[in-house]
Amino acid sequence: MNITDIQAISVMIVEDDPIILDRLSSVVQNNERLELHASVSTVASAKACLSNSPPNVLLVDLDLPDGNGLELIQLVHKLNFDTATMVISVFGDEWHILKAIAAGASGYLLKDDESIQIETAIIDLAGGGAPISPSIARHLMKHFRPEEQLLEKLTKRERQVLQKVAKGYTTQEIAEMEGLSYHTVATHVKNIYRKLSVNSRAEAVFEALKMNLI
Amino acid sequence: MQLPSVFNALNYRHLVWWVVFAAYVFTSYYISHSWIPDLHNNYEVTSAYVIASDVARPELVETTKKELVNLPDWNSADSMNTTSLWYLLPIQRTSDTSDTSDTSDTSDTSDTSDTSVKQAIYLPKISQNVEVFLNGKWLGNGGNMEEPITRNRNNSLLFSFDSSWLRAKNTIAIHLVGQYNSRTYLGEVYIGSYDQLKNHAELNNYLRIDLAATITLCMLLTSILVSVLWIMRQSDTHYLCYGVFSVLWAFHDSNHFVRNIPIPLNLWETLMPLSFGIAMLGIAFFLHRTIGTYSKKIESFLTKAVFLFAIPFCYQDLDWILFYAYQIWMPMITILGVYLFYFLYDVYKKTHEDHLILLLISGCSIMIFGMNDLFLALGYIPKQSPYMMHFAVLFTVITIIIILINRFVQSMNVVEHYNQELQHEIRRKTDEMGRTYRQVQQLMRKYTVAEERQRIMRDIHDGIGGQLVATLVSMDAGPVNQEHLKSNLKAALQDLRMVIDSLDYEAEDLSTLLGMLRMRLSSQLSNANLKLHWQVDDLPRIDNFGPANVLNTMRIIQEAITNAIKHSGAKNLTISTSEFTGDEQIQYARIEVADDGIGIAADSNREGRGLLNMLKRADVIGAKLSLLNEKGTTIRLDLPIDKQPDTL
Repeated sequence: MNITDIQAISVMIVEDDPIILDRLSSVVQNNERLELHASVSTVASAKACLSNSPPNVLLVDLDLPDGNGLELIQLVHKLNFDTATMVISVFGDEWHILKAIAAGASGYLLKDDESIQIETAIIDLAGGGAPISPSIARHLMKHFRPEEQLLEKLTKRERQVLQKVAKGYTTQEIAEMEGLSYHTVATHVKNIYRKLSVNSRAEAVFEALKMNLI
Repeated sequence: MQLPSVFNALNYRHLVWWVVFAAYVFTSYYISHSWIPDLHNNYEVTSAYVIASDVARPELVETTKKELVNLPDWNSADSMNTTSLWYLLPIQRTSDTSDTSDTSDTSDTSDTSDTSVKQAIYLPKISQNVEVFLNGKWLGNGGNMEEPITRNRNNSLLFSFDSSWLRAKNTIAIHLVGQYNSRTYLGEVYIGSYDQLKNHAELNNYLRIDLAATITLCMLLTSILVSVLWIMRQSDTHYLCYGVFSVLWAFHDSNHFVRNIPIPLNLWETLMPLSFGIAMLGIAFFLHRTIGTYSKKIESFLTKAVFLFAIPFCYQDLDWILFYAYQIWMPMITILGVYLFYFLYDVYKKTHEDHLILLLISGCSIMIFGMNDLFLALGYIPKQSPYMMHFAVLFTVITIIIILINRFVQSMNVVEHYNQELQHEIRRKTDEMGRTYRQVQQLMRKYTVAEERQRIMRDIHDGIGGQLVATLVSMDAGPVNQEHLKSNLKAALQDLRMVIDSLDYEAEDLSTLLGMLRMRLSSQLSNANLKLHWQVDDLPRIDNFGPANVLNTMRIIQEAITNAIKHSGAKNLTISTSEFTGDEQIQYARIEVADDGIGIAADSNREGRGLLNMLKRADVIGAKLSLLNEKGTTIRLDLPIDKQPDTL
């Protein structure tokens, strides 16, 4: 990502709950490193905004009045925008987060996170980070089981990272334990996300073929 | 309307059987009476002098009272009231061209020896035994001439001599002996070439001796086989009946070919009709049991009657025995046979089963051939006629064996059929059991889910519900500190998160659960003034642990961490996991929360309540909670991994 100290990170928020939208907007506006690119509440308006100019970070709620946020994530991915997408999620919603990651998202925000956590997460994401939780890691480990016939398999290092995350270690701790830099660990996570996305799309094609949709 | 039913009964197949039977009877009579070709007339000697005398040598015979008779002579013994007769047959040398020995007695010895041919005297039908002399020279006899006299009734006798023994005028002396004058006779007498006569004699013996003996042996064999069958299946008493009656009948049949009876004559003559009568009673029992429906009353009546009529045999006088056996006993047995006919026909009328017709035909064969023999014994047909009962035996044995085999095959088929049915049934039941098992499992799963849901609802009610209610009540009481309110709500939310985490299926993995707990507590931990040492490693899955137990475990650990943060004043907090094997080889997963703070005693009241809570929860999940107070506080939770036997 072409992030410099001078340039602020442009953030676009798509959220239909006005209170959450308000809160997220104010968090972005109150941070000097962040810049509110747009804040909309429908898929249609989000698409219009995206076609004008893509933001650095896109925050998307999945459940929108005129569609699913996944559409937007897929669109960004398809158009090859240099945009990192984040799902606005509620806790215990790992399944939806995984779906979003499979669609191309690279992170998630919890609606009840503290303001400081939200700021950190956005900046972190824009800087190449990839938030992950032990539960998501555990689900991913299940997905990437060695016996699965997958298009993209995990490397040994990626598996080690996932195992550590699943046991509750932080990115920093993993970096120290494995003798890696913080960013390398984050890159591993992002790669894992990307592989999940590739596999999911392959599966989708496969499923569609099976159902004679293609 | 009676007639059509009879015609119906005679269906095509039955007709074929009857025709086969008729052919059998015809063939039997043909074989017995006309099959063996007559010998050339030239061989036959047609007249003889007969003298009633019981001397043993021909030269001792008093020739003054001789009578000229035609041969065969059936009646002289009876009319002369004797059982010992001498026949003197004067033989002229004939000029038969076929007789190569027909040379004059003046021919020289070398000639004679050159032309000497084996000659024979052939007696195919004699009542019991003979001794033959040629010109006073002993040629031979048919066995014992004195009691017990050998019985050659069915046995053709052949006495050979050399043609050189013949003179111009010869006398053949035949000493005929018997036991009963009415049945003593001398049949045809042939003299001629030994080879030709021998051939005839052999054929005769095959027919009258060997055939009867073979049939009798076959009967004995089937008797043994069926008896063995009975030994193996003692509930099928008809096999036993068959075994008994066939042995008795075989014994009776031996009369036709046993020449030297091994027991006294009286006893033998008693046992013969007795064995036949009881064999018939055995047939009645056999038929009753084979067919299955019969009156016990009739059976017992028949038995009593047969044994009652057997009593007169106790008077062991030969004449009486013979009279009683053939004039009274055998006709009585015939009545038994008629009853059996009626019985078979009666059952057939009801059931129309094919094998009854077969049995009826067998009964007919016994009747026909039996009557033949009875009439023969009673003198209604010529006494030299052959006995024929063994033909009935052959037919009956074949029929019964066919029926028994048929029944056996049928029951095998039935067994096979039921076996298949059974296998089918087993498959069906297995499927059903599988289905039921799946249903039960489904129900159990449903039940488990419902139970879990209830526990979690109770948990939410007690936990978050309580917290929210308390917050609400405090707001009602007056103005509330914003920070206090926020922390209360946060605590409630925290609890809710934990409940939801515990519901994640993958979250049954304890190390991931601990990881999630760490994430949820991350702000508290980072705000606290202590260093966290995270030493969590994979823990084995605990069987049938379930969300409720997971939640309780997490609550215990959360309480321990919160206590350490709030009250211990520790600098370091270590959360670690390990596995170990305890007593009785039980595997444990251990979770430890250790701080280097002031220990628990300093503030026992407050921590005591928290500890009590933790102990209670540990008890609920079947874990062991221990508190260690060295260099701070260590809360240690040991969870047994192995499935408890009672949870199976």
